[in-house]
Amino acid sequence: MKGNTPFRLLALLCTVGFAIAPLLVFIVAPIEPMQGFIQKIFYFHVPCAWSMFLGGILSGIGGGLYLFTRGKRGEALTLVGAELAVLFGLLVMTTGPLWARVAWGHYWVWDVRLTTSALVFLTFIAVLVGRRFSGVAGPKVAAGLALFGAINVPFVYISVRIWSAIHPKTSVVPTLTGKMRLAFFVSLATFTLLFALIMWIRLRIHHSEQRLDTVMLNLQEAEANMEAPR
Amino acid sequence: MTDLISRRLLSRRLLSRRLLSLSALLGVLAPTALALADDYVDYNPAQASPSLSAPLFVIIAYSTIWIAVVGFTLMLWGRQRRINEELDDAQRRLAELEHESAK
Repeated sequence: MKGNTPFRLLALLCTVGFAIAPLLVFIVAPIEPMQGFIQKIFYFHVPCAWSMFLGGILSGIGGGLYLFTRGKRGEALTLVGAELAVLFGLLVMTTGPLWARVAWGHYWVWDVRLTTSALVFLTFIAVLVGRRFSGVAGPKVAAGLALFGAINVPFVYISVRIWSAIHPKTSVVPTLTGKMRLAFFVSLATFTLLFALIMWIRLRIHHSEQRLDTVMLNLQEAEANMEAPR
Repeated sequence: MTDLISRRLLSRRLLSRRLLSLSALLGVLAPTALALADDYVDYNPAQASPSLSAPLFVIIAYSTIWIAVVGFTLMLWGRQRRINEELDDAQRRLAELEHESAK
């Protein structure tokens, strides 16, 4: 990554975002009158959920690509997208219950938004498990599951509109006041940059692993040739 | 050489297994444990707990995010460094073998 200007720029923007966002969230944005201080979790909980959805959708696109083309790019995108969906999903599944405990009195309620989110999160864990433990069929299993997980993502988003739910509706964001809106969108942009940055690094690692596998095969072949009787 | 390949595959498998096990464990157990802690009670607005220490919950939430992101980034950094080292070793060994066979 040395000498890679776009990568450095992305890293710089992400660092600046993470320096500014907490200031906006805790100092500039006012305390929400109904829920009080606990509502501050919203500014990072929603961007984490957005990043989980992004990871899930990219993984699903990768899965579709792999199933139709059997290409390495599709395989890489399926894996990396799923890893990011699990990482950010874990954060959603941690920050959400903490917020709920204070706001609703319970860590977990079988609300439609919570249940569908947990389903998507578990599906992407299944993508990773399936890929690792399904032998040669691993990439195909992962691709199929990723496609299924990605299809579920829009349902998570619209679930609160269709069914009655305790979870705040999607209409909350447009109703945010000026400073709250600023803090929210800076956080959202920062998490999106973080997502892009981690994805970039992870794809590079995947590429390096592929290269290493090729070199190792060449090495094995060269060793076999050396040992073979002339 | 076979040792090198075996060690590499083993370390990669172990790391992946540990990560997957941890994710699966957290993914399945965390919501279940939280739900069990509350005995699957239906939501009741009267039970909201504004008296709980909101700042403590906010601090736990933010700390979790930071620890997870920094931990994941450090893990990726270590993995990239290890792969680069292995790649350098393998390429050097390959170059040596090619040099020997050319003699």
